[in-house]
Amino acid sequence: MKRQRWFTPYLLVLPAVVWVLVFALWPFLNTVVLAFTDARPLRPVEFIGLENFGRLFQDERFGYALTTSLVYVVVCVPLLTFLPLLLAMLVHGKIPGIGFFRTTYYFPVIASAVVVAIVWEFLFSGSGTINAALKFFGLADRPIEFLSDRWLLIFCAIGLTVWKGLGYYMVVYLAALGNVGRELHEAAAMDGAGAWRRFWSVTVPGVRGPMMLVSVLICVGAMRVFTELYVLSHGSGGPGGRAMSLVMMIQSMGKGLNGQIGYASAISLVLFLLTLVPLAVVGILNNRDAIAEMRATRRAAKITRLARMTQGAAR
Amino acid sequence: MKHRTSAVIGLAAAATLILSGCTGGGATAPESNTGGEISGEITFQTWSLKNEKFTPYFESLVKDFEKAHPDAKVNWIDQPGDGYEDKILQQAESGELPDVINLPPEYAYSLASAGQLLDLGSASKAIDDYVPGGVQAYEYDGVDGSFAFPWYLGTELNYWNSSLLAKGGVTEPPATFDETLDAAQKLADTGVPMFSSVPSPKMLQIVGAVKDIYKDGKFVFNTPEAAKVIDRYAELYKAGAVTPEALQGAGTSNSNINNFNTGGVAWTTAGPNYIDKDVAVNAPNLLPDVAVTAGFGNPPLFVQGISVAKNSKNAATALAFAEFATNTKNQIAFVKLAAGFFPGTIEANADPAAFSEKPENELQGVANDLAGKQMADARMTGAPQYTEAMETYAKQQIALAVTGEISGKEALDKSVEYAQQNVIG
Repeated sequence: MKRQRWFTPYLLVLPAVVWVLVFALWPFLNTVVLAFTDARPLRPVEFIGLENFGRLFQDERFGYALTTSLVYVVVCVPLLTFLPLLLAMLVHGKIPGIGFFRTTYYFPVIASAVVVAIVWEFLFSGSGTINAALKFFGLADRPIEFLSDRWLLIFCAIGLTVWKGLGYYMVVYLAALGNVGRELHEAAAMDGAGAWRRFWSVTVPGVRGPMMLVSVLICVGAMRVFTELYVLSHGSGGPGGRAMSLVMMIQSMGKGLNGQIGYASAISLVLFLLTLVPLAVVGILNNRDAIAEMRATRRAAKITRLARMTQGAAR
Repeated sequence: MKHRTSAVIGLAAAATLILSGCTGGGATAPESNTGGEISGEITFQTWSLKNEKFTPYFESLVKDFEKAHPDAKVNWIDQPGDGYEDKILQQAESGELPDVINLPPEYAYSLASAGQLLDLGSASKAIDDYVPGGVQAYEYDGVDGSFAFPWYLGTELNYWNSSLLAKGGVTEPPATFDETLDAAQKLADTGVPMFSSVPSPKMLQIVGAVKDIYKDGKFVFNTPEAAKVIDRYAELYKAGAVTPEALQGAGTSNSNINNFNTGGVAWTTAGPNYIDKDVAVNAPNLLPDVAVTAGFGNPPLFVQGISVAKNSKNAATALAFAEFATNTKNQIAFVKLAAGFFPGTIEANADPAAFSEKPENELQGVANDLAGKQMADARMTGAPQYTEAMETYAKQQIALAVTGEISGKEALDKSVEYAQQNVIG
């Protein structure tokens, strides 16, 4: 057997490194640089410092887009963190035919986001199924503006995101629930804990890690919402563009022969920084847990040491 | 530590310099020699025309050209309708713009102002053969030259649902836009909507509320007449004459035709071939109720042209093929297939009988006649400086005005301000 050369490991990781450099780092750095320019297609580029960022504060559409994205995060994170957990608990048991329900709940995940959004458009548009039903039962004289009122449109899109994401996160929780010992639930029940108490005191701590992961994924995903709002508003962002998300704004500013690439890059950079926030929060929380665990270990060691010393002194 | 800092700054500066080249960078293409021999290979790009109907035409066109010029070879490529603008941008950025390319006036303006298109006015003697309105569509303030041969032209007519109009007591299709607004109020009183789109500056130009979109270096579409129309729409929206879909699609797609086909609204605008190609196919039950009238005040002129890339390696061949594809004979053969459109040369338009398709429905014949008469008055809407992003922004603001949150004047003033801030220098 030949001896391995020193560079063999580097050769093995080279494809991955090249991939990351070309398709992740390079476009990212390019965006960072462009954010400080007035770049437009087919025209000379000039560095304009922080001008694009200054413009952001004067652009009311940026305010609307930021609000939409933040509302999306604030509403989606709790809903998509807890609802899939409840769903996972429902389908966790081993009862006949449970596979059918698990599969059914997972269906929206595998459907294309665009297709699902089109289906929701059929449901909620002015001449859609829901408005037709409301009219039929005499509950509304004229169509409810689900998709042309700013907040109704945003909440319809949130509903779509939650519905589509439930199955995916349910599967994550299903895996995690397998690790929560049945004996803990039984012990808690014997101590007189009801279902709600067992949920908070046994299940939630048992899936705390996956829950953290799920909430970060949802947070980042919600911040970057695009398809749902784009399809439901036909790309317009609703009247005044007030239901536009940050990614929709980036797309509308940066596309085409007259796209404002520099400005769109500046918005991208702001979005990137905003998505770092949940990651930082999780980092801090994890760090805090690690520190607490370290302190507890030290405290235990100290107690043991003191106990030994006391025993020694007694002898 | 100092070394490390310097290295980081150096790397950042180098990256900045290298990366700034990634935007395309505005290099003007060198002037090509159009007087050389007609030989070599060229690429000809069309926009969403490769299908059962048009493919045989283009294959035959290419074959005929190659037969006349044995040393030349034409590679015909077709791009899908969606994302055509992005495709062109990508081609232009990478210096691979096809030698001969189908462009609408707005795209041609962007490329011409970046020095990517050949001035056909000085390179070709054939430019005078084309209809003046079509040629003017490719001549731009601040950029010298003519940047496409007009290829095919179109306009829009008004289509009405007589049955829905009758419900509101309107027995004849409105002849003017003001009459349409009045009729919309009557229809709304009986629960029938007239519109499923909001007005845009281009639409306001068609109905005569805006004269020019851009004049003497300024956007000027915020006229009192236009504001009045928008405010009227807001009243009509409250009354139920405008569907919620109009606001949903504000700024982008226009679902007017779909809503008209399903009997949801009483009015739409569409091309002259709408009866045979759309209503008869997609909504045959609606056909007996449809009435057609000429477009309002300033009917729009739609133009598609054939341009030549300035950096073509075989510019003489590219120019010869562009002239060949748009000559009278080939244009007539093309619009015979593209029913409802008009050819781009003066000679071809002299005898409409030579290219008019025999209508399948009586109403299509009426539409053809109306469109033929209307072409003389039709004119381009918008302005080359008025980009799609500006139109989208304006429609978003106008939609907001239609909901009553802001006034028509505020919507137009904001749109003009936005357009002025984003005009391409």
